[in-house]
Amino acid sequence: MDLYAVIFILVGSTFGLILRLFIKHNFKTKILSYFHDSLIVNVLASLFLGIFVALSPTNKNLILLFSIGFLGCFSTFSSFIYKLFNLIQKRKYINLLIYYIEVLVLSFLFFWFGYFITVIFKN
Amino acid sequence: MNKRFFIIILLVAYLATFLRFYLNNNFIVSIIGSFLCGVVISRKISNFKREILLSGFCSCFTSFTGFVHILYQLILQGFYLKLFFYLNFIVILNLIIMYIGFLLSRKMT
Repeated sequence: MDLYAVIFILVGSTFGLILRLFIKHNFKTKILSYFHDSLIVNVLASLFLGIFVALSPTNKNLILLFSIGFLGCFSTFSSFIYKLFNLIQKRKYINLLIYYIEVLVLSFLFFWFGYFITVIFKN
Repeated sequence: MNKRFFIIILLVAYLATFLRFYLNNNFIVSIIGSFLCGVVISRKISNFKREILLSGFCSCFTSFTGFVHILYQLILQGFYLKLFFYLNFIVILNLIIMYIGFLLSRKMT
């Protein structure tokens, strides 16, 4: 691994981390189920991933910067699982089901949204 | 948010990113991340350390987009039933692994 690859990953992960912390500390509102910040982070990350997949860049450094650095640090799987675990501990099974379906459906919808928007604009 | 917190969380996030890049397998990464998350949440530690370990290490180590990307590739190949089972299997497996980590760390203390 050369020096440029390391620098690209570092820059991407810095931006991802700062953006996630910013969203975590500033957005506390209610949508559908009672709201958790990892939902908005994961949905936004899926939107970006859709745009990225539709563009399908071949430059290796761009993949390192955006896919591994930025999106990897921005999206978080473990806090999604932690939220589900927390709901099981509190025995709120209906909220658990709503949250689970909500995250998966919303992130897939936004993924396809980003994908098709980019495909339309590309042509 | 002070300066010391920010520098520590950045260093931890870099470590997590390079570990994820080195392992290069989303399935193993998510399982290790869930286990660590389970260990951390059962301990009674200060809010500062908790934020760094959960929000810095675990969240940067595991990535939701890698998960979505695998599901996207399954959709492209047309395995809809496999997609459904794989999705639920990963989430339930991660929940169980997190619970195991939670219990183990309880038993240690």
